[in-house]
Formats: sequence, C-alpha cells, structure tokens
Amino acid sequence: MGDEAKALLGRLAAGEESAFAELYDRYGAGLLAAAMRMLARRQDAEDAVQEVFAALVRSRRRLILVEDLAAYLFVSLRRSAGRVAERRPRMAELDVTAAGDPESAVNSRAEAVEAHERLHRAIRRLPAEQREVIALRLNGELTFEQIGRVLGISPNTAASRYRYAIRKLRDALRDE
Amino acid sequence: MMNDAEMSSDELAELEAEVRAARPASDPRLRGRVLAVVADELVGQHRRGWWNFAAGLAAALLIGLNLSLAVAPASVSMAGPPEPVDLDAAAHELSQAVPGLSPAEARRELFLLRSGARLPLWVQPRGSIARHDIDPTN
Repeated sequence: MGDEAKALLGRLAAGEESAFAELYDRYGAGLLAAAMRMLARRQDAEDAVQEVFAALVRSRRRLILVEDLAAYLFVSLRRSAGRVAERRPRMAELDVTAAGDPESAVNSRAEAVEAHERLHRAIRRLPAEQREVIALRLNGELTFEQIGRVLGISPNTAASRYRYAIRKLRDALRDE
Repeated sequence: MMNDAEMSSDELAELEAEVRAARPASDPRLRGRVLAVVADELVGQHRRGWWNFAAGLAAALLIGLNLSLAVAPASVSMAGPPEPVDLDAAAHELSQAVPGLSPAEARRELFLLRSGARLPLWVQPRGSIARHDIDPTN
C-alpha cells in the first residue's frame, strides 16, 4: 500500500471528515457500480454504499491495521450488500429484470442506449459469482489478487471466473 | 491483461472498456447522503465518547469511595501520630505500680508499649517479677 493510502487511512482513523469525502471521491463510483451488480436495484446499491461508510466510521480506529484499503472496502461492501439483500430479498429478486442504470444513458444516442442495455442484460444473466468478479475487476479496478482476498478465493480462481464471465458476455452480445 | 485463445486482445479491451463505461453515473445526491451519514456518525461517536468518559469517571469515583469506606475502619489506628506522653511521669507511675521495676526498665517497657508490643511484665533483676507476682490492688 502506498504512502498516500496509508496517510488517508491515518486521517480516516483520526475521524477527519474530509478524509471520508476523499475516500468517497476515490472509491464511491466503483463501490456503487459493484453494489449495483450485486443488488441490481439502484436504491439498494446506494443503501449498501452508505452502510459501508457508516461502518467505516464506527470501526475507524481499527483502520490503521488495514493493509489493502480497496480490498477492505469491497469486502465491507459485500457484507453490506448481503445485509441489504437480506432485508429486501423479494424486492431485489423482483427488480433484477427491471434493474439497470437509466440515468447514465439518458443523454446518449438511441443506439448507444440500446448497446448499453444489452450489456446490462448480459451482465445480469451471468452467475452471481462471475458478475461479482466482473464488478470488482472492471468497476472496482481491483487486481485478481485483491479480488481473491475480497471473495476468499485464490487469484487464479478469480482470474478464471473473470475469463469465463468475459467469454459469456461476448457470446451473449454476439447472439443478441 | 489475459490470454484468451478465443478472444483477441483488442476485442477483450473493447469489451472491458464497455463494461467499465457502463458503471452508474456518479450522483452528487448520494455523495451528500453518504457524507451526511459520516458526519452524523462522527458527532454521535464524540457524544458517546464524552458520555462514556463521564460514566467511567463516575464509576471510578464510586469504586474509590467504596474502597476508602471499606479500608477506613482498618486504618483508624494509623490515623495519626500517637498522643504525646510524659515518659518520666509514666515511668514513675509504672515503677510505683511494680516495685521491682527500675526506672530504666519502666521506661523500656513504656517504649515497648508505645511501639505496639505487649508488655510482658517479666522483670529479670534480683528476684524476678512475673505477672502472677503483681498484686493488682497495690
């Protein structure tokens, strides 16, 4: 972990509000994207991200012991997403088909919107474990080693899940 | 990034870029909401920290008070310096009460008494005097 990340962890542990803002600016979008892959519903994903930050404040004094901030955040996100999903299991299930991120495509051209939607549909059809790896890799920008740490699997398994997922995505997009 | 026989690296990079781009737009509303929660939690922690400190202090004071009350009876004998005694007068009185006791021995016995030892009332020189030899009516 770099000195910058260590310094940020120190500030977080000290309870500096600006450090949490910095953390959000750095990881917020990735966390939200990954949460949306896990939970499908945007509202649930936002709740999960919010819970991550609330939990961070509560356990901030232990943050100095963290060795990999990104991995720590995504582990925390998985837990929060699990809790949110437990609270609203049926709703999350029902919303999977209606999920997506219309806001991000509002101003795009019709074709781009369609491509975007096709991609979302293809991602949603992936098995949860592959979808998670895709989210951590491409939205969380984690390495396979970090993904392995987050999911409790080896880096090789993470890489192979990713490979399968990418292949499936490509096939799904070709077929449509 | 990875070698996939079925996929060219360009194709892979394009797909990855597409998935990356498909991330939800950042929402300032969520940022505000998250940071408000952070601020609330921090304030709550400070408040709880103060109350925890106050409760801890009160508990420590109560324990201290309790302990001092428990120890006080045992420490009464050490409460202060012994009252001043006129040793010469006391030695004289003791010599009178115990005729066989020389003034020097009387003083010694008084010192022993003052230091908390029990007076053995056992006098050695010329015809020893034991406790049973002393007539309390004298």
